Amino acid sequence: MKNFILRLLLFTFCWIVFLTGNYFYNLSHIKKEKTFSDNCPTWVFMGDSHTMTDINPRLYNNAVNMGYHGEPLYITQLKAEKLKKEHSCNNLTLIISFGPQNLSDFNEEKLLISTYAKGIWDTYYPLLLPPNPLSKEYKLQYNKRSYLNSILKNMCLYPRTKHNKWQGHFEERDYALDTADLQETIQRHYYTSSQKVRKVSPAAILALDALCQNKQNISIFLIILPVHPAYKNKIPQSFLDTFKKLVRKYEKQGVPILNYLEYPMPDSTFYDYDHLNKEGARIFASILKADLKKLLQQQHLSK
Amino acid sequence: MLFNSIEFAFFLPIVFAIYWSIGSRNRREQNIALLIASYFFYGWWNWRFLGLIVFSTFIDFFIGVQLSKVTRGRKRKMLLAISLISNIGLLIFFKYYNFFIDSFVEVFKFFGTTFQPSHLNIVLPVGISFYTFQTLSYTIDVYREKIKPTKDWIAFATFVSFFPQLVAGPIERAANLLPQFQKNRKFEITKAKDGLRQILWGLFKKIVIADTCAIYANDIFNHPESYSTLGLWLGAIYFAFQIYGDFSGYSDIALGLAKLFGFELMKNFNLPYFSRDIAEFWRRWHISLSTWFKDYLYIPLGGSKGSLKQTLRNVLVIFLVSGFWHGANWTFIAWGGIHALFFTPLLISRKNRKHLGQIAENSFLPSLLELQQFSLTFFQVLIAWVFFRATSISEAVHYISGMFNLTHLGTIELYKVKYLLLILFLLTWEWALRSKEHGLAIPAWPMPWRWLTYSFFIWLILYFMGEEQEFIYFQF
Repeated sequence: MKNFILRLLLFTFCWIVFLTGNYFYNLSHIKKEKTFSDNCPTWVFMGDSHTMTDINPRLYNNAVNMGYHGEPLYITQLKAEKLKKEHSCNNLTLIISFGPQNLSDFNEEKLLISTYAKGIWDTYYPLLLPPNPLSKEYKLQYNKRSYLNSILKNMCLYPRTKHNKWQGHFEERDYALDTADLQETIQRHYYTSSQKVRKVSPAAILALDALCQNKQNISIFLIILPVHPAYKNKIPQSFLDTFKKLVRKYEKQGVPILNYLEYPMPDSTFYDYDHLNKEGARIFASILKADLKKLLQQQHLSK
Repeated sequence: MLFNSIEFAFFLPIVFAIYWSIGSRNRREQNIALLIASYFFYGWWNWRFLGLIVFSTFIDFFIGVQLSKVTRGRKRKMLLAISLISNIGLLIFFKYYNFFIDSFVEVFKFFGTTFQPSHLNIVLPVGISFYTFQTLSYTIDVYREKIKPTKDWIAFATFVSFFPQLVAGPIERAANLLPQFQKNRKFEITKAKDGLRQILWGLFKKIVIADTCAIYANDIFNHPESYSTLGLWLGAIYFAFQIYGDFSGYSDIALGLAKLFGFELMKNFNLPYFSRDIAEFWRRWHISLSTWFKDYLYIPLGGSKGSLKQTLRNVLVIFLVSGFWHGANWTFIAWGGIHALFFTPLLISRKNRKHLGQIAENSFLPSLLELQQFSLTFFQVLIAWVFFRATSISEAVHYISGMFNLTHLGTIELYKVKYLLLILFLLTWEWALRSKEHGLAIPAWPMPWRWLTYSFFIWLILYFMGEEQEFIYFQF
């Protein structure tokens, strides 16, 4: 028995050494890895899949799109924090998108539903290493099993030199408008499974507040991206009301806001009711570019 | 509690430590520890159903004792009948009540009458089909005077509820397992080490093979209309390995756990996808159930002793009942029927016991003929699995017609094929170690190689580990 236990302990010890060795190796890489290796971009677009598909950064001078599928605002805030900490770029401007869908408590539930939670951990684990900041800063409940599983897989199983999926990217969608999924999308964004209108996410408000307080003195713009009228008309009133209140609040705080929620983009520019396609992203980029230019000129004059 | 859960990772070492610290001379105390652990293990899922196990245990223990007092006559038959009625009655109520109600409704509808009985919201107690059959086998064997009844309640209760095999088998025979509870058990390092190896092998089959294949098998079976002919074949193959990895993985874990506690359970799977005909497949797949049906149903019906017609009838009966045992749905009965259909030609030509020996006995590779036989048997099994997996007969027929629709051959995305590599790895490994008791029975390998091999399998398990998935056979 003693021999058996000793052998088992020795084998387990070897595995613990292997796992922790990989963890610290990967951790050192994450700490060393800089988001922008050489030169700082002037514009950084952040947000969820709307940012990811709607804003083509190649049409700007020195811009990066860091949007990613289903990214909740509390993650965007952690991303912004990381950028602020790691770079001392003089002209960096973060353009953060938010819309009514970001205010839904579905974004909080994502951390509990295993399929969504797995996606979040596997993408953003470099920002969420133990102790998980989401529980400390936002008091969010999360699926601990899938969290630990993801940390184990991404950090402990093998040494890797790239941990940059969290940075997001721009994705071109070269499709025509798909009219099939509107109801399913609205249901997912704004309703619970029992058809009740969802609550507004306290974590989303906290994240927006933190972003707009902007303690590190980096320029922050908020942008509300266009959606198809068919989508906009189905957003529950409670979300639209909160959304408008927040816009007014941040405007008062002096945060520049570019609101395109009801901007009349033609049908041919959407690939579904709340995302632009390749052509839409191209057209929208020029509209946004002109407006940003105007806004910067105004800011310059007021100074 | 699932074998692949975190709770079990804490449960097992605690029970192991308590059990062996009691000392091998205190057999009764060890049995009590195992009994408490087994009830705790089962109660973790739903403690209210513990009553059913206790009831089933009590009935068969009591009847066993009574049978020892009555030597002949109608009273013995009556005692057996009480056991059969109470055990099968429980099974029918919990598992088949709503099925029978639905079937009656359909029959009445067919004759143009409406019949609207009330459905009961019945939760199926996990493992009921397994422990019911295990206790039944005890009573029948005592009745047949093949074994002597036990008077040790603790040993009997532990035999019925032994946690490694409680919820999904192997369905043990009292003649094999019960005496092991009645003798002292000494810790044997070789046995314990082999137990751990077998647990690792079972976890590999469950987590790496079954749970991974399940991702695409579920997707394809849930949306068959979105898939081409090739996609549907892929779905059927993935399901074949999902169910094999899931169930044989469970059995390996059960056998390994039993070894850790000094017990030997019967082998439940013996490389079934290397069968040369369907009869051999049934000697290699879910062996504890097929031998149960053989001993307690097929042989009492006359087995193969009567005319060919009677033998065919008996074979049909055991396949249909075996299908029905799996679940309260016509799809399972159809699955059994299809296997009977594939079995019939072998029986008529008296070739059903042709392949009793080892596969490729004196060579490393199988012969071309053997390969052809494996493929044909696998093809038959695959067709039958579609019925097993589908939720209705019409869905299964639709799926199978899609598999043979050559006008919609289509292509499959490469990423969906990648898991075939895992299947290929499993088959190659199993083939290479086919003469061993299980896939990691490698005690003779040099220690560094052994440790590297274990590490390789542990790494694969950790890499493929996702959300813990329930074992498919829990629902049966």
